[in-house]
Amino acid sequence: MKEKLNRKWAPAGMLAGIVLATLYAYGFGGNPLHDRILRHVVATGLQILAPLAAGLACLAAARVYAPGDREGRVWAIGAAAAFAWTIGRVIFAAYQWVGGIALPYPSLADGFFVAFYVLIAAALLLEIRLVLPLVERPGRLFLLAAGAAGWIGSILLILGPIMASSAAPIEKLLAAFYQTAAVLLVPAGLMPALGFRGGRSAYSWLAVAAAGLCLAGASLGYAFLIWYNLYSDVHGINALWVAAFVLLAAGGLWQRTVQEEA
Amino acid sequence: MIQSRRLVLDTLREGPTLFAGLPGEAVDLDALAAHLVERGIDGGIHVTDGSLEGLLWIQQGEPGETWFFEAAGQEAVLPMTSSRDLLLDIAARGGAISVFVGTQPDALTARFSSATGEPAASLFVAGPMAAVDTTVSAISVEPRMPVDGAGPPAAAMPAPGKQAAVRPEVSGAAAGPQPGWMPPAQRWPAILAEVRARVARHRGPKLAAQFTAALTEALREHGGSADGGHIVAPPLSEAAWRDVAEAACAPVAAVAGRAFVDRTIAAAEHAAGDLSHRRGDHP
Repeated sequence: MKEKLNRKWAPAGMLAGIVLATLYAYGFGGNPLHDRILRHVVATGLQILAPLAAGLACLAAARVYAPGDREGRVWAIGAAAAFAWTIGRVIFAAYQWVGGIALPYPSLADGFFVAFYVLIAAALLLEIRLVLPLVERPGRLFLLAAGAAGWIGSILLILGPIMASSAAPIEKLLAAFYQTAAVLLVPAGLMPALGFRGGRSAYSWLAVAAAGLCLAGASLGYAFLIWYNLYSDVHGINALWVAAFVLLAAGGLWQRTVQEEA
Repeated sequence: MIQSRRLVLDTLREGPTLFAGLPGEAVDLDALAAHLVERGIDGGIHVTDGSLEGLLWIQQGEPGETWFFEAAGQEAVLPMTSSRDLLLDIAARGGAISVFVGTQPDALTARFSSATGEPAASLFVAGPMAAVDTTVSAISVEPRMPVDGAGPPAAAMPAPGKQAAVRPEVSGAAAGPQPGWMPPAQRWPAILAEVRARVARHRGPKLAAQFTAALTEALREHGGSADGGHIVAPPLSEAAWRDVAEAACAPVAAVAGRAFVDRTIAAAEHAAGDLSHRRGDHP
């Protein structure tokens, strides 16, 4: 019984700790210099810890499935995606703290960030294939339309000026890829939530969709702030990255609970 | 490999033992056979009084052939009499009853079926032993399922070799249905209704509707139906109900996975057992 409680509440406590640390690192402004350095350290740690926690939670969800269960593969791929992001963040931090580069973009880290989006999209496509018969045609059309509208909106409002500028082609390509992938994660995550609507499993996918929303917001904000030279490591927009992975971790943990308590 | 019927019995006795050396006069043989049938346990009820031995096969939720042996190891040449009466007679003469878990060789079952013309309609089969071939091709002793969730039967019960020294007290559980026991005709509809409720709770009503559609299709083959939460079916064996459950759960397994289905069925069986126990629905 105690072990069961520990299994349930220890990860939840860890996520709560990450949220509190995020509020500290990104929630205050105008602190003295020594506090600002501490916030930099905490922020860097959070950007690594949050995707690591998400990867472990997705792995925990994948482990409650039997070998060959296709939905188990979805969570295993999700875990691989989160771990790819973790590695990217470690490299990003290494550029900053060891290499002395304030904003390593584009860099080797972007290779892992791209891998994250590719893997998470693959995982969601696998899940959508499973649940598509459960989603009625109006629901599918609505999500398709919402995804298209979100993507067009992000292109017009944020990416337009960047694309029209003299930025390097690789920067333009990465900016377009991040926005597109992140924006499309929202309807992709909502599709399984719609399929399982009315069941406890739907909440896992709502969390994934919310994570996609945070990633989209963070990506758009990141591109926007960099373009206007307003970006810093402790800017509040970075809290959205952490929030995205906390939500992904919560989704994974909830899915494990649902599967175990069948 | 060609084996005699005696060798088949000896091999069966070396395998997992569910009950060993129960006093024949204290055991309701009908209830014991019904219990094994309802729980889907494959094996044989062995009754011996030292001079005569009888073995009733229970296979795939159905009673099968009954074999008789003399003490010398030869098969008895019996008059056309009821196997049930003879087994009861052996038990009443101070015989010991054991239950071994294992499967009957297929080759012999097929021959016996063709000899009798049709499957047995009653629990105990009457048949002329002299008409049955005395050789079989092979035997596999393999429990199909753990008994009462207690792990492999062999681990919980005395080894066959020690059965002469072990004469356990006969409990109600050993001699007949346990509290909470229900025949498949009542138990499985309750289990499947519980599975449906759990699928709806965890995966939503859409997947639950797919489960119901598959269940309806599976029951239709047996002349039954599943209208909403009301499941109607003719009397089916445990094995047939398990096949129905498997077919009904196929759409759920495709989405939520095999592990989810296995846990759900196990939990539903447990919940259905609890429900019947609370209501006192046992014979």
